[in-house]
Amino acid sequence: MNKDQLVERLAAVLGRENVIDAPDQLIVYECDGLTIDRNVPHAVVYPTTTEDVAAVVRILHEARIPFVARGAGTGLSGGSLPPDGGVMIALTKMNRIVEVDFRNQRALVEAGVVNLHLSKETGKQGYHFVPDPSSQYACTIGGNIAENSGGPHTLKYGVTTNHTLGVEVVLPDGRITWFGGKAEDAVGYDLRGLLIGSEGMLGIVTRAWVKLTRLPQAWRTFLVVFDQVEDASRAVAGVVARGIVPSALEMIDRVAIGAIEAAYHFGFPLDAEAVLIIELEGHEAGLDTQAGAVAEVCRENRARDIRTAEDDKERALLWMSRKRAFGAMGRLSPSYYVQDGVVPRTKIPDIMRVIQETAGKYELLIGNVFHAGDGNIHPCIAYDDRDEEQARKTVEASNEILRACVDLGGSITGEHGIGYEKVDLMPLIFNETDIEAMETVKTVFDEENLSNPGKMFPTNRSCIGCGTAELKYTNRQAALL
Amino acid sequence: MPDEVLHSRLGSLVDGYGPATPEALASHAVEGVVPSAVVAPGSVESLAATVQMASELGYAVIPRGGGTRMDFGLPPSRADIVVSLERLNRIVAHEPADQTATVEAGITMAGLQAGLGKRGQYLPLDPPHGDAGTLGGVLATNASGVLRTSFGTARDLVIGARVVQADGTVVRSGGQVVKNVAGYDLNKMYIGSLGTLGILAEVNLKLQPLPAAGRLLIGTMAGIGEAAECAFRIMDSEVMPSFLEVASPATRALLTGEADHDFAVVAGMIGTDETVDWQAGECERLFRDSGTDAVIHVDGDGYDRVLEALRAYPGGGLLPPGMGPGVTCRAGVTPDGVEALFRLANEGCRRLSIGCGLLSHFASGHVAFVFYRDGTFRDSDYDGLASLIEDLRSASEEQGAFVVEHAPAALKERVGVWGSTRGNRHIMEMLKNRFDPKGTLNPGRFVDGI
Ligand SMILES: Cc1cc2nc3c(=O)[nH]c(=O)nc-3n(C[C@H](O)[C@H](O)[C@H](O)COP(=O)(O)OP(=O)(O)OC[C@H]3O[C@@H](n4cnc5c(N)ncnc54)[C@H](O)[C@@H]3O)c2cc1C
Repeated sequence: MNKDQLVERLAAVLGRENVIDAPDQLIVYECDGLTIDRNVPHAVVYPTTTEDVAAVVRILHEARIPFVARGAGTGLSGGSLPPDGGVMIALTKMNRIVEVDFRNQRALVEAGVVNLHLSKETGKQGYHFVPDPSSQYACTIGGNIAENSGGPHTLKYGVTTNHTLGVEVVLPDGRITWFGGKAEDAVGYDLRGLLIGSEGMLGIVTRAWVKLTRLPQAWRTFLVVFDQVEDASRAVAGVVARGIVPSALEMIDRVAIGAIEAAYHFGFPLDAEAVLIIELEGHEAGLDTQAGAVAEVCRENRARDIRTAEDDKERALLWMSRKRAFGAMGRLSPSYYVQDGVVPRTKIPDIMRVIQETAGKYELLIGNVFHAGDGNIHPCIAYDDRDEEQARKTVEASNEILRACVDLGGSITGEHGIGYEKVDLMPLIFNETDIEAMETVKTVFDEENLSNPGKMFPTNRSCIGCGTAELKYTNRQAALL
Repeated sequence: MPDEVLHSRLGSLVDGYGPATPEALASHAVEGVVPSAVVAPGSVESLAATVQMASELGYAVIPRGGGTRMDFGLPPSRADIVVSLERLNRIVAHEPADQTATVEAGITMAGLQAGLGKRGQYLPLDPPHGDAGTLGGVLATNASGVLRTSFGTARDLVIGARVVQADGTVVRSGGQVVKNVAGYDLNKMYIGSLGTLGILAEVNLKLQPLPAAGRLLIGTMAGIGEAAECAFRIMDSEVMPSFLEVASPATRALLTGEADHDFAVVAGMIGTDETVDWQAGECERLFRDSGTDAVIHVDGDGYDRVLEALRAYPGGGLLPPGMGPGVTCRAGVTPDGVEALFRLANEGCRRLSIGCGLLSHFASGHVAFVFYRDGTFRDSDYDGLASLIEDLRSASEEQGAFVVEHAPAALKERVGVWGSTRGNRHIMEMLKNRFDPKGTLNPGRFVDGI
């Protein structure tokens, strides 16, 4: 089947208006939020029903043409980077909230529903969908499921997998099935759990039953100011060690504070080395006692100032500033590169030291805005993508930071996924046997390797266990030149 | 293969191994299938070597934890070596400040909680058989208890694992940190797989601080309709209970000592004294709005006693004196499907003149059933029981699932155990075939005879 024939067949199923193949239009889809790696898809299709998706996948399966699902394209690990000669299946027209069942506290949504839309829709009745990635105003629930996304408030309530009851999936051969469903405890292997976080490699999610959670009765939001990153880091570990589980515990360092303040004028102290956003949620009764304990930990760790969000408006502005922080970082330099690593939460002081040293060593500007409460760091490296030397240093610095995460007992990704970006870092945490087990799962679902190929698994097999794992710099270099 | 070969191989792989007496072997029979050897490796390496040997020589391996749930599932098609995890019972690491721990899977739940409790933490997972059952057994069966309402099930609490695969290789999934999306989430696949894809040898857990206070309220309800309405009211309120149970009259009798025809709603709160006080007051008001004045507050020792009873019954098989052993089942439906299952079970049992205990972890739609009579069920009871189970299964499967947990072999043979895998049989069979091509691990016991 040549390209024209393919487009014709796809158009016969979806209507011509739902198939894009003009080069100037395709260019938009060449990358996601990870802009260093690019590849233009053969065509992009916009199905509007599950049956449409299945029909498209059957055509592609029959012709052995690889495909990739795409939600909003906010992914930060190149997860929806098109495979060579592949077709992109965009889910954004499948954006209906099909059913909201408040009585049973769950909702049926199509994969392309924007995360925030569900919480807005249910908020009037006092409910929300807990996972709140900072990109929630744009990213889709299908993308959240594929990445098992987190967010500031998943510290207390858990990430996407903990809030997803069942997924309707189009398997890579075009069959439609449900893993889990409206009810919990489906029998057999937990295919639902296996699919969530599988980065679009085991099938395409078309609909999902997700949990709705009662909004808390009360909250307290604090902005705590520190003169030393070290002190802020110790305060994070201190709060957790006290047995207090805040609903969110975020850290922002001086570089990021400067960028955010310039963009949103919240009133962050520009001379602070670090601030923590600490939010407590629950019942009004007892919240102030908890707040007192948090304040005590912060003061023990030499907090300079503890400010309280006065009302809903101030709280909303604070969170908006935090959630749009990466965008603000973009003002500092032509490009920025967001990393995602994890350390045990007691190791936050250690990893912050590593990041500072690494920034010094490579003479790079690194800002930090991250989910400190669960040890999930996001160093954001400002660089000039036209400067090859700086781009190389950026990647090398990232490698060093991620290695340090692993050495401290952590992981190479907490929420952004392996995608294309980190395939060659997998050997840092998994050996050959571990990776083979994952590949076995892949072959069960996708014998022909058509659904989002080229992701997650290391390209250089001989390198597993040899300790030379690193980010795919060569590809980046090629893309940059 | 003569047994001497097996015994000498096991002797070289597992320190302290000796052939078991015929009586000991018989006592380790799984649903009537008697093994040739019972072995308890003392390390993950020794466990792995044992499985590797079994795989090479074609023996079937039956992993065993505390032995409390060995009758769960279908009878194995073969059972040569029962591999007990009882010696793999250490807490390898506990990092209170990170709220994580690494433990061997053969540790009993009681041992685990006692160990973690020394440093002020616990695993918020409280399935039946809390004392003797091992963590590995709980994970293999994905058993849960009342706390699932607020903390989820094992799949929400395990962050990493070391698993001995069917060929004896050891695979690691997940990691040590509470947030991690590197690679597929294989932990989920192993939990609830009844050891058919691999043997969980060591797991990393996400913990909670021990709460300062706990209290529960038991409200008496005239019927299941009223009880369900009351539970919905509490779900939709600002209370956010840590657990929320709906109990049938027989279950209520075991909790309160009052035997009559009333149902009960049990709402539990844990946390600081202040939040527990506020929630208890609010909950009491909601009970009154639901039409009941009979509300008991239970805390302190009483709280632990009632929780113990909730955990042991009906899933744990605790029964009124002189009754049983019972037949236990569980269903997973939506909360608004619970009432219909209660009615169906109660009416069926009345018709059959047998006892019926029901408990629902209401917000998660989980329902546990125990059916019993004085002494053991007889052949003449099976027709009635089988049709009751089939009715309950078809009602449950409209939305969810229904599983027969403990039943005499003859009854299981008639009604099956697992119910429908909903069009996913093929994928499940493929997973089994690829992860265990020789059928070494627990052959035949899982869904669709996998
Ligand atoms: C400013 C910014 C802030 C962010 N903050 C966070 C954060 O706080 N927490 C966090 O976890 N992430 C965060 N992210 C990353 C990203 O937003 C999430 O990974 C998000 O879930 C991706 O959703 P999407 O719809 O954009 O998916 P895409 O980027 O379109 O796709 C991501 C992956 O999912 C697959 N996929 C998408 N839809 C489907 C489907 N229906 N079925 C199967 N596979 C599918 C794709 O193939 C790809 O592999 C942030 C990104 C940005 C740009």
